[in-house]
Amino acid sequence: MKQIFVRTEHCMGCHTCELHCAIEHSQAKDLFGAAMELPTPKKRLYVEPGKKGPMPVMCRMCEDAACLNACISGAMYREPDTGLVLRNPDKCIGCWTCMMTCPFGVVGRMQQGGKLISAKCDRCHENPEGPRCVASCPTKALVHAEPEDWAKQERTSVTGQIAAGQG
Amino acid sequence: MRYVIIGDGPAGNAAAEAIRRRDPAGEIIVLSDEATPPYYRPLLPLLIENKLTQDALLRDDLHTAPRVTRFLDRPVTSIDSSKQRVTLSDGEGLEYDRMLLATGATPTLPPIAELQGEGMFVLRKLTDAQGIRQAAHDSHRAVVVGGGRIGVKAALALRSLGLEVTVIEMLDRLIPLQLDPEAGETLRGVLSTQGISVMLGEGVKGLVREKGKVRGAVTSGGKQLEADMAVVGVGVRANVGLASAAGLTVGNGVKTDSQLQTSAPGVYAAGDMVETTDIASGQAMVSGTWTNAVNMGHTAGENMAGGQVDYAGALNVINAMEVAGMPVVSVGVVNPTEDYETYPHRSPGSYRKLVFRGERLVGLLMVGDLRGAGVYHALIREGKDISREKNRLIAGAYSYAQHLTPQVPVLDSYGVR
Ligand SMILES: Cc1cc2nc3c(=O)[nH]c(=O)nc-3n(C[C@H](O)[C@H](O)[C@H](O)COP(=O)(O)OP(=O)(O)OC[C@H]3O[C@@H](n4cnc5c(N)ncnc54)[C@H](O)[C@@H]3O)c2cc1C
Ligand code: SF4
Ligand code: SF4
Repeated sequence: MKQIFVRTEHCMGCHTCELHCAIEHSQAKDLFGAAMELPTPKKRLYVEPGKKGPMPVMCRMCEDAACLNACISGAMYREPDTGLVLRNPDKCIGCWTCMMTCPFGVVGRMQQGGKLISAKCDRCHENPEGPRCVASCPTKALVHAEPEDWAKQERTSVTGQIAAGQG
Repeated sequence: MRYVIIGDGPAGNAAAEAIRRRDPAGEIIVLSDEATPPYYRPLLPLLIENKLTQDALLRDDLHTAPRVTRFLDRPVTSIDSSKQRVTLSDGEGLEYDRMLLATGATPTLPPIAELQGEGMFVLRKLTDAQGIRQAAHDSHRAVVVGGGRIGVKAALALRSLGLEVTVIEMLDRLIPLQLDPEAGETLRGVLSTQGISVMLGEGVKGLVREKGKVRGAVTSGGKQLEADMAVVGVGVRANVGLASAAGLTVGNGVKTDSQLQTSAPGVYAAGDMVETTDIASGQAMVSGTWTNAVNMGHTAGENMAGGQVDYAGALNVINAMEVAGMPVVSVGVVNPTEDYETYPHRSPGSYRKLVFRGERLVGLLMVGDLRGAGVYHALIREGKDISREKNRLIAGAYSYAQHLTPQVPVLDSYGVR
């Protein structure tokens, strides 16, 4: 499964990825439309201060996914074909058990269909162009790649500064 | 290889999933004393409120292990671990190679006068929720005995159906095990804006019945309340009857080794019926939460199918909920004694309390704003010395980003599939 990797030395902490994440998860799918929408579209990744500078933190679609294990309603599920861990909005009851258990702190809350439900990364699986955070990053700090390809690429690259498993 | 699982709750289902992953060919049989296919117990309040149908409570194919034989409405009446055999209520016997006890827990009933009979309910099973929904239809007033998680959820459900509801809690706050006095007080305010009356520090001496029907309740302080029905939520007791009768080692729950095997070889246990140790306090505990049940089920299942994994350990308090617009998370030690340091933090609409023992984070309570809850929870589980991060944690300025080490070019296998 492809993961999202971070070339940390490229990240300037501009939060563009966060903005585009929210836009991608809006009805309008563009900045002006999204800004007008109620409820306000929510981002699902978080650029946080890291040890050496800004660090985008996002869902890793864990193999042993704490959020999925903990969900008390069956709303969290693993899509059989892709392996993505996704949240079914109809089944989610907004109990926040997933938020409490995700060790990366990347589950949030959002409003949809008149109720509060969890908000997490879906890798923009409905967008044929792939994750919008990756596409939007002005410095190409985010890379969507198979782990093997990424490892090969980084071994031959001179930059070498890689976030441990940011994907 | 034949695996027999007793109990079709989250622990049993998690085990079946883990067994299937390791052993694609083994025969898995799940025995349940309930007549319905497996369902999500925490959704029962929504059935009472008529917000979900019975079918919407059931597990779907994405959440059930493939190729599992289910025997519904077939209670197990005895176990013979030397013959590796269980007996069902109709006398039929079933042999096993590996067996899992995942029988959960049963609500306890306090010694209260006139308690048993028509119009009195507990809330654990689908049939309980159906009974409550039916009774609520014909009732105007309800009394809820016990202001814990179940009592509060039942009270909110009944209130949303328009009943006048009074919750009576013996201790000085609501949801006493998962909340501290301050959060409990906030919750009391939330419930009163919902129109629910709360009586604290008071027990229920007895129900009042007329020709068998519930007419009210009398409190320990002598107050009289009118009510047409009562819901009792004062705690649960692990279902260890089968295990005790079979001679397994039992305390407050069934005792196991680090791999969740009971004192009988080949017999494992998981979920609300296990006695284990609280990671945060180090004390013995019997779990009452979904999260622990699933984690134990996964570990037990894996080991039943030939694995050698140690159970990572439970947290006695690990609870998230949304009560009438107020989100709450509690993890670990939330009501510490003097050996602990406590850092409360208040801002408009939110309350956060971190509890440390020495240089370890051992407890978390969050009300209103849950950001970062998962990261704090992970730190409590890890139990590492976090003195260097303590100030940042207390200030609420900690995130997973601080865990990441940019120099190490490894593909942290934690999340990579
Ligand atoms: C209304 C409600 C809300 C809840 N909300 C939450 C929540 O928000 N978060 C949370 O973490 N937890 C919650 N819980 C608790 C959670 O549901 C339990 O901790 C969890 O179900 C325990 O799982 P288990 O598999 O150990 O046992 P159970 O789910 O109790 O399953 C055990 C099964 O075994 C069956 N059984 C028992 N004896 C036998 C026998 N002899 N033969 C055959 N079958 C038998 C039982 O009937 C039952 O079906 C809630 C519980 C209730 C009732
Ligand atoms: S939300 Fe968290 S626990 Fe769930 S898959 Fe993503 S990173 Fe893993
Ligand atoms: S908030 Fe929704 S997705 Fe998360 S655990 Fe609760 S029901 Fe499941």
